[in-house]
Amino acid sequence: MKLRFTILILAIVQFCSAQTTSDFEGFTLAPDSFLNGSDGSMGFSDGNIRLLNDYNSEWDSWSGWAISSFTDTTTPGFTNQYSSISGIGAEGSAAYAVSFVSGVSLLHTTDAAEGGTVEGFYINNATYAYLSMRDGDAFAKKFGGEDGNDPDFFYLSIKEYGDRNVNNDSLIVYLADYRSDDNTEDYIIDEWTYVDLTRFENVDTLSFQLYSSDNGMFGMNTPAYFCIDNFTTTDMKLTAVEDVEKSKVTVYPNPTSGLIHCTGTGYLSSYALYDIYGNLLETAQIESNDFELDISARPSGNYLLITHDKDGRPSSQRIIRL
Amino acid sequence: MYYTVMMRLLVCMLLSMLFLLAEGQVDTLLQRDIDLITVQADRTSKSDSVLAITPTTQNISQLLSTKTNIYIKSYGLGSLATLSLWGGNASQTLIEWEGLPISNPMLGLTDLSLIPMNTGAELSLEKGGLSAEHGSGAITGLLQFSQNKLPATEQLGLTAGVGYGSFGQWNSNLDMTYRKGRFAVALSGFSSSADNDFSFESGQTEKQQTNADLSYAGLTASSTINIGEHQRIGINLWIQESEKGIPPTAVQTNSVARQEDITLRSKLFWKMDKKKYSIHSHLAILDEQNNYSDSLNLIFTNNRFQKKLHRSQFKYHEGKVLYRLSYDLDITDGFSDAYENEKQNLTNFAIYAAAEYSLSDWSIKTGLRKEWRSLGTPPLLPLISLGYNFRQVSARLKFSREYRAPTLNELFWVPGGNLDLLPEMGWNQELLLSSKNVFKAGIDLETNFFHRKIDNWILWAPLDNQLLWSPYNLGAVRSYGIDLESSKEHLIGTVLSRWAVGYNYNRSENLVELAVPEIAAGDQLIYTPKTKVYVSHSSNYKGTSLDINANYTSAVSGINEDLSSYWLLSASLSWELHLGKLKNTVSLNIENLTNSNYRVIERRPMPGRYYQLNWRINFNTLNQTNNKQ
Repeated sequence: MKLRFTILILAIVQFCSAQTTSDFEGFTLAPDSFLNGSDGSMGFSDGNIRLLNDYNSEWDSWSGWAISSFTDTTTPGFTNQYSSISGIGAEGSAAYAVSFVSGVSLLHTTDAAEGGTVEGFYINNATYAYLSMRDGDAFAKKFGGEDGNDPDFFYLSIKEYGDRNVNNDSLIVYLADYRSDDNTEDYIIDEWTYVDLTRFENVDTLSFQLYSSDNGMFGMNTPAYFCIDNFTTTDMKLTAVEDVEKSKVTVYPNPTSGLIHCTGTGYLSSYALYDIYGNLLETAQIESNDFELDISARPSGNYLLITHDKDGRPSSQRIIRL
Repeated sequence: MYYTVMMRLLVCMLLSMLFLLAEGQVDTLLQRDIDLITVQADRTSKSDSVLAITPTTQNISQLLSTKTNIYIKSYGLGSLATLSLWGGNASQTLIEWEGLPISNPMLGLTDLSLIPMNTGAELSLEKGGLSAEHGSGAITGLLQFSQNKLPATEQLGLTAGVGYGSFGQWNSNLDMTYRKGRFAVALSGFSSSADNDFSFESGQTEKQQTNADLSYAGLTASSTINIGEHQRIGINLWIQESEKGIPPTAVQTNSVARQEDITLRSKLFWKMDKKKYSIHSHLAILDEQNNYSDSLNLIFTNNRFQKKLHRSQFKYHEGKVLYRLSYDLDITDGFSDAYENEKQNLTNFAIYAAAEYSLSDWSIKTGLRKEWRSLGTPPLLPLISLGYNFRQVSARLKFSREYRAPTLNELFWVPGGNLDLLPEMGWNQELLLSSKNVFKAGIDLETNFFHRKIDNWILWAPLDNQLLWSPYNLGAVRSYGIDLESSKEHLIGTVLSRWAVGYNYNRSENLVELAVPEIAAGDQLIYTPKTKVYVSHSSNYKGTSLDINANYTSAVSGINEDLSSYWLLSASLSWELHLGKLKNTVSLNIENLTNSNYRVIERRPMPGRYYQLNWRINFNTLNQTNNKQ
């Protein structure tokens, strides 16, 4: 009996500490190809994460996340927006994820990882951003400026959303740092670098924002791109092995000039609206399949709407206020 | 350079033919068909708006930046240069060649760096709202120029010129003017090239500009034939091929981008002048191609537009009233890979009617323009102008409605084009005071007070969730200020001296606060200096002339950073030597005499002191044979 109990405990511990790594190789991309949401998928699920994507079919443009196997490390500019500066994924893999951050890019934990602890991931600069920071382009400056002494920087801010609230304690990852007085210490990341996320607990969503020292009246000049790979989650819930359909919410119109209609696949219990800095703007109980939200009084920009169904499962949507 | 070779061949052929023509009677009735005078009929002062082209004038942007208080937005020597007048942007001042609007209808602007000033060129500037008379894009004024001056009397003139300057600049031209009987022609072939590899201070180091070369070659021609006593027909032609590098910014390591422009502008006109009425009608075709390539960034675009214009104006004089009735028909086709089906069309038809009533001291002018456009609804454009003359002082008060229609790119560019764009439009008020011989000291003074408010200001902004930009009617801008110009000519012994001073104070304020682009209400528009000053002095003694110009531009804000104010000083010295019927002119031009370190556009370096030496030899049958130097 004691032996059985011990084995059971070990099994549970082993199960609780199981990890899933999203390496994006399952998309089986041909060399130098990409997925940018043009199929209307609105995101990419791999392992226990989902990367959200906005795709504009009228203009064939996207933001959020794309999956890529591009290998071009030399061509600067927008035409090479899907490449990592390593030309490959982390640990020599072919595929990786590219983010074009327009305000904020979102990542959901799903299934067994939903609401749990995330381990970490590998990050790298996109070729477009790397070459722009190294050499400058028609819009963005070469980091260091004209004499190489400008204290430039380019960093990623990661925030956790869990338990229906944002944790404003951000994790900062420098993708380029020229702030040192000693110019020999200036660097731009050009290889896959591990980022430890274990400080975040109860994660259902991670938000990614980019900040640069090179800004003008039209916003950030540095191309707002970065790449990730081998995103590892900890499978904490027994429900991970179950086929549980995640709560889904449809929001329309989006972009909006004010009033939006939100319809869930099931019963919705509450919503919370955040700005892109993670500030909670409003929250309410719903107890209905759908509801309306008027954000016409709020300034133009990006907002994050997180809804929860009756079982507490979250769904998040980016709202664009025109 | 295919056009270079063809231009030279054509010039040689025409010269050979015309050398054979015999002398004939002078037709004194024939005057050059100058549209400049027509459009300035309501000006209190005409002479001050006509700019003097000196032998050292290289291009139109150099002339405007040294001889006027217009702000020239130059991206560097040989790079894009556009103008800003009275707080407007480049697409709000109309630029006309031989009465034809030549602004690129896809972009709404004209690159002044690609406009050479030929030997016989004439240029005039009219400031203030002119949308009622000239249509879209004349919100802040009208810049008109012609490239060839037809001789007024029977003669044959030939001019050859060559110039060499700093940064590998070479230019050459071959011009011919001829009049015989009812026929007159003026031709000019020109070519220019420059490396523009100047040094500039960058941080604490000195760097050398790269990929800033500019070369162009072309041919311009004007010709008229008198038909009977009151009619004439004529043509104007301008063919040019240009190629330039797009240099890197001061915070960019390298650029290999290139731009090629191929231009064909042609016009056929007919004019009838009777005692009481006149009719002027013309047909024109503008065909321009712009090819951009960047082999580093793998960007290759080919854009082209063809614009067909038919315009007619009828003027009738009855007593003290002058009536004008005109119509314009513009059919524009734009071709671009970025357009749906690679082609878009805009057709515009306009009718303008005006009446001018003049008494001895008073005058009143009213006008109304109505346009119909294949996309969008242009506003009705009225104007009223009241004039009063009192001794040497004259005053004119003008109210008008102004507008600028969206460009082809703003409407149709994929991605980003916005078919729902409204035209920029608003109201304009001006008070012009001008006086001759102020204090009986021979000083001419012209002062303009202006105010206008333009709504639906079109701004490109990034879409909220996309990388791409799109134009929106985001802004409203109020502009007001004072524009002052004064000049004095006097003779000291045998030295003719002329002073000219210009001052412009202009506020051009955003009225709408925006998040992107980040604009606060009350902010001065970017790249719009509040103060612009020029002081110019020229003197001439027996064919030797000295021209000195000083210009001040106040600080401006840019997209990323602010730019400091600066003074620029330039000087030119020219010397004429007559040898029989040959006139030699040698000139030396020095720009940025004080080696000022300045920038007009952020991150775009400008050259320090640089030089140009020109030699021009002119043969004319009218030249006196016994002139002394």
